[in-house]
Amino acid sequence: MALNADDEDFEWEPPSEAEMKVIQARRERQDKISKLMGDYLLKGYKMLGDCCELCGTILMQDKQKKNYCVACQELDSDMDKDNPALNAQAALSQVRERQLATQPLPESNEASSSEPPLSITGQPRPEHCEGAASGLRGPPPAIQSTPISVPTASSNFLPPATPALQTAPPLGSVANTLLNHPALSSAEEAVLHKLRWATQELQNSVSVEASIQLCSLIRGCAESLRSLKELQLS
Amino acid sequence: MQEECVSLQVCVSVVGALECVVRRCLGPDGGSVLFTRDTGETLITRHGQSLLNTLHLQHPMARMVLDCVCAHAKATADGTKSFILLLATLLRGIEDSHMHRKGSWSIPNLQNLANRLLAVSRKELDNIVTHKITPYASLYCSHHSYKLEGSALDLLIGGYISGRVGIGQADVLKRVLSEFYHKVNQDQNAVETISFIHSNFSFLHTPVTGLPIGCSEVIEGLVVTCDWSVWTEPAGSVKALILYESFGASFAAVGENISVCIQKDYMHRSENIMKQKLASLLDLQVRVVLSSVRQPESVLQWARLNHVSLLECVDSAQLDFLSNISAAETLSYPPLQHLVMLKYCRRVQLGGHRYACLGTFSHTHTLVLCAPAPGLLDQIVCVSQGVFAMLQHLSESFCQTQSPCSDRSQSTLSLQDLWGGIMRAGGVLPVGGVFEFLLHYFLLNERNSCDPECCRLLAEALLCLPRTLYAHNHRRFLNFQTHFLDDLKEWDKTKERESEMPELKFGFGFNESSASGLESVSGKKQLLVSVLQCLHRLLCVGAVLHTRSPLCAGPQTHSEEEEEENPERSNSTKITDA
Repeated sequence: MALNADDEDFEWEPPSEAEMKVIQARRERQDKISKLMGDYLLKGYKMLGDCCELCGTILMQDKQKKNYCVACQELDSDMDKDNPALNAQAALSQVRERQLATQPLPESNEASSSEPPLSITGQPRPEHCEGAASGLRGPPPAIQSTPISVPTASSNFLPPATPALQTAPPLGSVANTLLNHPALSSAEEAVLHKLRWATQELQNSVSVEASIQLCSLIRGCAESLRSLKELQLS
Repeated sequence: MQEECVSLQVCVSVVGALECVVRRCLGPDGGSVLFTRDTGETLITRHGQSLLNTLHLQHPMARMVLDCVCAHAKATADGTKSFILLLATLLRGIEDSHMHRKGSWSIPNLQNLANRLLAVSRKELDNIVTHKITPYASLYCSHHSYKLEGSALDLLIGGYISGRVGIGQADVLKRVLSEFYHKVNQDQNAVETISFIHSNFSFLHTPVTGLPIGCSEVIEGLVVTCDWSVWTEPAGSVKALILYESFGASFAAVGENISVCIQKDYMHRSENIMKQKLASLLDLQVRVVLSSVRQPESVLQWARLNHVSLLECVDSAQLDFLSNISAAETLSYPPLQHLVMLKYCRRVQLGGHRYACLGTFSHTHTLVLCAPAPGLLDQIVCVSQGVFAMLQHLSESFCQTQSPCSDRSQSTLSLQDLWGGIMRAGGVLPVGGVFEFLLHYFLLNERNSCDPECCRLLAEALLCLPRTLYAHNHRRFLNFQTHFLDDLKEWDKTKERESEMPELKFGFGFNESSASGLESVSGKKQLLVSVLQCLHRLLCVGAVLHTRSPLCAGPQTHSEEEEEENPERSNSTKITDA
């Protein structure tokens, strides 16, 4: 092959701030994966020649011949980190951004609901943001993230369902205090529906990890039901 | 387009995982890894090659990297962990430059880059090592010779060992290995001595478990790890017979009546034959018999009666070695027997065992290595073998560089003091990352380079080694880096004038712990070349094809590689199940 340098070499521009952050984050994730893989290699796991279908990481196999993907099962997914529906921090930063962009309005205490933060539209008051933050650090991430991360066939069922459920609350959340109840009741309904589904899945589940995740989902649903009840009473 | 980036990403993850395993064991401050088996066996090691061989690696790229590491270790016995670290850092550097260039690395671009890196390793690296690093090394050694206590050889051995065994063990081993070398050398040709020790190390050392390391010593004579079956102390030098087969003919017992009669006669006759053979031995005045097989009881009785010492079940390779070094005389009849003259024969007690010790006229010595546990003993034997392999590689490359100059007087002179000659010619540098810093500086400041991007890639990657060596003390690394690079700049400037050399503050001031060691420049250069060759192989992988049935057991990795090195870009599918 000819040793000519590519023309692209001399068109190098320094990457922008955002790109640097992405590169940095990806590098850190890659380092974490490598470290985990190295630890598992030392524990006697075998490095297989296959890659995981979901994330492309190299699969490891333990002594019981069970395949194990380090990234899917131990690290959070790369993309989910930035999705406000799944991550409290991302949600909080989105809320703050909107708060900075517009003036605060004296309305909308939907922030105190335990629904996903997509329901919080652009005009929350600062103190309600705090409430949103405290509410978000609780069950909601557990509810939303666990169904996505269960790598069973039933996961295909979930993504279409959750956006559908999420669209319902935002419509209800624009209303003021008097229209609380329909929003809360629809929220309750959604959570109960999820709870029923989870119990059904739990009965049919054969994998230990899936069962553990389903149990945490059920726990999350129960906690959110409790907070919803508290809201209704207050 | 996505699949064209896959191979680089996969390389990075595979080598990254290996790096995480290996990096914790690098350098004098590194630790060891404890492996256990279900059967209860344990293995404690920090040797790069053992570490990697013990892991379960099924990924074809990992196996390919392992092959490259083993091939490199066979040549230089040094730098297996540094190999993986450098490879991982280079791959990450390539991936970074890929992210910055806002385009994807297509396979032809990657292959182009791999070829360019190989070209750098052939031309520019040679250039820099010959014209910049070697003169620097010789100048450094001549300036600091007053600080270099002990000979160059001791420092070389010390530099190699200190990164591989604990401090207490290092002192003992250094002393013993140095003593062993000097006793075998006896002021002869150093190159031949090193070559001799390296190729025959398995016969020249005896491992002993159960004793502390401090009991390691050098014994005169060749130690054979079996005890005498019949022992009478012979006085002075004796003639010994080496044989590879039993005196008595071996016959299978047949249980038929008729056969018994034939056997009886046969046995009687074969006994006669044996008596004749043994009588002829006495005629030849043989006092010692060394046999590689077990002899029948009648032979033992004869030996006891006639005061002949008998040693059985000796390794035949060791017997060959003995015949070679003692200029054995081969008997014409019966075949497969040699006669040697031995200076003396002794019985020695090592550990809990009694061994035979045979003295030869050619000043053979045996290195007795002791350790409390078998695992530790393996490590020590491995390190000792590695020392001589490293010295062998150094002397070979030195002789190669000397031969073109064809100055007979100079070459014979240098052979008398090979190690001093190597030091003066700039073949060694202090340990601790000096080579990496030098190469980094010269690669970045190379004015006539035809490929600055590759030089920059390589230069950045080189610093990963000293960074890992001083991972426990990052400030030291930064200090070293700033002072050293400043010194180098000064030296570069004054070099033009050639008047005086600025005081080089690094090295000894930096490494206050003990007298520093030296490492071979050619070994480090070989490491870099091997890494770039392995990188070339990795980057040229176009596709990984999985087959259901296993490929043949022996050359499995080779046939996998043939499938992998598929430079077709467009029509190579990703993963197929055959």
